[in-house]
Amino acid sequence: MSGAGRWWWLMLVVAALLALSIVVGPAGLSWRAAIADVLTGHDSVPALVVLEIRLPRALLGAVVGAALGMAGAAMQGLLRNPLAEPGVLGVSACAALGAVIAFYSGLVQLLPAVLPVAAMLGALLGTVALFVWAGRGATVTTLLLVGVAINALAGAATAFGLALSPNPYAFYEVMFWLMGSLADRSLDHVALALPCVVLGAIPLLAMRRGLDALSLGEETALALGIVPSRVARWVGLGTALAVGGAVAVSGVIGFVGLMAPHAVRPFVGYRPGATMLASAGAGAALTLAADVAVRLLPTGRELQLGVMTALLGAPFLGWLALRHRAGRAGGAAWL
Amino acid sequence: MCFDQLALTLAAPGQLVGVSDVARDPLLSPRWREARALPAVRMRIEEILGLRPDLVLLDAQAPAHVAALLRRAGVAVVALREAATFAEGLARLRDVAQALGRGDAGRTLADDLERQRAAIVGEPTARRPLAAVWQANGFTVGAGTMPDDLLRLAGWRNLAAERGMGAFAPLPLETLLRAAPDLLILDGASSERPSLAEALLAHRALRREFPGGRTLVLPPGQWLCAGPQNLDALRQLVAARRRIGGVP
Repeated sequence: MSGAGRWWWLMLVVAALLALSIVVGPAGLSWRAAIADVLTGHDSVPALVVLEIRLPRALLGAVVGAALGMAGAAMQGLLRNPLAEPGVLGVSACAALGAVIAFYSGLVQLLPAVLPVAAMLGALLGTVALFVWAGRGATVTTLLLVGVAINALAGAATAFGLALSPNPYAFYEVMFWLMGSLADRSLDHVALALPCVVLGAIPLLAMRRGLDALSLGEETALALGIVPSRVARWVGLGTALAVGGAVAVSGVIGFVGLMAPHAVRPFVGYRPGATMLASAGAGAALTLAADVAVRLLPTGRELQLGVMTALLGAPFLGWLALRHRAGRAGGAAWL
Repeated sequence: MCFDQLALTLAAPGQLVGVSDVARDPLLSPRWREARALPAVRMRIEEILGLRPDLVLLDAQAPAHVAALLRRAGVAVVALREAATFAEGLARLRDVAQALGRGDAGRTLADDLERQRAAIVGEPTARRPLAAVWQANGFTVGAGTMPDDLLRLAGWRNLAAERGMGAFAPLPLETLLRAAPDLLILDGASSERPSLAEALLAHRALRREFPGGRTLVLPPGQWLCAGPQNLDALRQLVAARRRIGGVP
């Protein structure tokens, strides 16, 4: 398959899943009427269901998934570590903590834009903590341990913050923030998340060449005129902005940033820069597919989206760890 | 909690020594002011015994060991079932009054409430418009509940009851829009602080489909529990029916 052909296939898959996401829902619709009303701008119930309920959900699936996929690929490229991912390493949980503080304190009621800004600040803090704490060239084990600590701390702080709210429903919303969901989101949420994700994608995409050069080693990168610390700063910032924007409206959806880069890496010649772009597409496809699945599963109440991605992603993480062990011969199975 | 309301209505001054802590919540409890003057207890037996009561009014659904322990401690226990209809509410009101030794006051109040109800509701109407209750997290209220009975008395059909959705069940936003009820009944905010559960009630799709005239905000305190406050809920529901769906 030619290089351009692969990109077309990826876009086709994302487009098909977007369409599928709009078709799936609890209310049966007469599609002829719905499409006619949408096109003529007639304010009917079918048009409202499509435009105000299903469209935002599908768009958010694509935007959030792309942000997570891109952020995962960027972190894996920068840290040269196949297990790096915003969810696993606690960046998403820090974003959720920022969003929770802003939302439940009532600040968001005064100004909606505070929500993604607080989430982005939280994600930035998480990224900085990860870089400072684990340091440059950390081993897989160190990085994961630091990530686990940040993740646990941010998750616990989120639950604690929610328990402090006097609102009786707040405490139970820890499920949304730590497991993620796209249920009942509206176009308002798309308007909040999309600009942040685009803003985060700009520095990430600008650092494509830098990441490619870094993959050859720091000396080679320096010889090519790339300053590694500069790449790290911009990639960290881009990751925080994209993840913050996504988590502010969807909660923590884990493992998408882990799986998406691995799914596309063989098709783009293992170059981190190209992986990032392709991983955005794969992340969108994965999130959309998981979000369709939670709506089709016969569970009493809709399953959280993060539960679905964890069901797929956690075994994948285990498989990666196994492969890593086999490659390094660092330990053998016990049983 | 519901029996707190009735006891606060009926008890003689100084007769009550404690109420449950939820009775002091201004958004759930119409008699929160009176409740705040009394010590609050949670469902902890130690706390209840600490108040040295002669009588405890207990929900029939409370764990069996609570009633058993209280009896062993020499406290009289009256276990009552929550009212699921207005008529049951009046019966419960008489029960609570009886238990408090104020049977006459209870009977007088119950008769008075029944008279007022008949006056508010009036003659049954031929056309019964459709109402849907939508609460935090997108839950709706179905058959076998006080809100369902009050809706029926006020001349409404209840969407959740017609679909056999159970007493307290999730109703997806899409399904709600497709059902196109004549009136949407929302909860008041349960706290001055926000929650996602309640933010859902301000979803753009709802704001567009149900402008102000087709919605009614009814705080849970007015129709969750049996009591005189049910008449306020009935008045509002009947007024909404006359305004929206009453014209044949």
